[in-house]
Amino acid sequence: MSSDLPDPDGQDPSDDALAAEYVLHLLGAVERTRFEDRLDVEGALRGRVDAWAERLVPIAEDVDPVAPPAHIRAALAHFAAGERAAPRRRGGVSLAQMLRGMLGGALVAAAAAVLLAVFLPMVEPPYSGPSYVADLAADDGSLAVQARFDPRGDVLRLSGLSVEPPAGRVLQLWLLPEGADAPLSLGLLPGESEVAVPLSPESAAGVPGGLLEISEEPPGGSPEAGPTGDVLAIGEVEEI
Amino acid sequence: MGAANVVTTIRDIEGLILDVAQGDQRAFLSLYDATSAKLFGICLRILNNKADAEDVLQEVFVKIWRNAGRYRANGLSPMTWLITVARNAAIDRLRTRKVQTEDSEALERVPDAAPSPEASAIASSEAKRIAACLAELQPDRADAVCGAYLNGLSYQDLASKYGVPLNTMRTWLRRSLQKLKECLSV
Repeated sequence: MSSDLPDPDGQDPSDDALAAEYVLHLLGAVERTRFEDRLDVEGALRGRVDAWAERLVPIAEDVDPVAPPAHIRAALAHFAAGERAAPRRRGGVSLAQMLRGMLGGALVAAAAAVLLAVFLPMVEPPYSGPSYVADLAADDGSLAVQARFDPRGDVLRLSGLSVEPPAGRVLQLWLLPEGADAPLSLGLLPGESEVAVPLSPESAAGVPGGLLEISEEPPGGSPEAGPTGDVLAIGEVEEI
Repeated sequence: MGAANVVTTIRDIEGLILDVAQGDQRAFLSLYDATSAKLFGICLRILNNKADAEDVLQEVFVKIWRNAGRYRANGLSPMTWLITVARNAAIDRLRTRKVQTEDSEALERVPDAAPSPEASAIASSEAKRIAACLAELQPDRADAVCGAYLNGLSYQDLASKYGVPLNTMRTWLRRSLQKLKECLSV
């Protein structure tokens, strides 16, 4: 943070004042836009702005932190999950869409099966409703665990669980139903790779379109209504 | 959220921003848990309205998610970058809101920006230094600098607050900022 009073690079000495005013948001709309156009191409000016931002930022220490309401975190978790899924959606017909198309065919087949069943009461129509799967990704992007849910049952099946809690901590599974303000705890995970998690009717109803998270928590689980430790894995529930 | 496990070091926050740039949702939520209370406090201070501050905080984290990849390109420390994103979004909202409502009304609700003694007692060395340098300015000029930084006051707001013409205000503030810079670079 050296002073550049003599303005060694021969620029307009008021550039430094403009940079400070820009950081403070004191420039009028027109002047601000004009300054931003210059910032795009003038590295030295960018340096002045960054120096002023660093110089003034300790003033913000005076501001006390205030915990924001839980629904913002929930909305952002959904937003980030949707953004990750977005590139697949943009790439023409997605796998999910194809599966859905096939499912439509399956529904026609099921209807036929129901008709058949009327005449052949001994033949049971195959289940053709949706099932759900979520791939929970770990911090390095690897698959931490896969969760499967069949809405006819009340059990969420986890397989291939590969994340471990830090020493003296436990893993807790959370479900954030679509549009919900706060996550529901689905319980603590035992240290096994295959786990069947029993769901309450409320939790089961929230699985389709929901978001699953695994956090690390103190023994006995989170002392609060939501995760308190680091999120170790996260994934959105998709219909298959 | 929980105090025990929240990441707090600058290196941790920098690492989280770089992971967010890779599309890491888990890092995004950890970054949110570590910094949202501070950024929400800043939005609240500038906007003085809970609903607006909540709205802007959400917008701020969407920007962080989208622009994390460009974080390395600027020379800012991680907290400075995050606070800059939050301040800019909150002040932009404040300015749009002011176009819709009456300026004078908004001004009356602006709280005093002077640092409280409690806050300076636990402040970092950087915060102590800037507080000491602000104390070397005339009190109303130090107050004007903090009012611009923490309350998003414009030159017009400041000129009305101190009852001076806009150009006088600008000259005052530019001189004060130059003095502040000299004091901080000693």
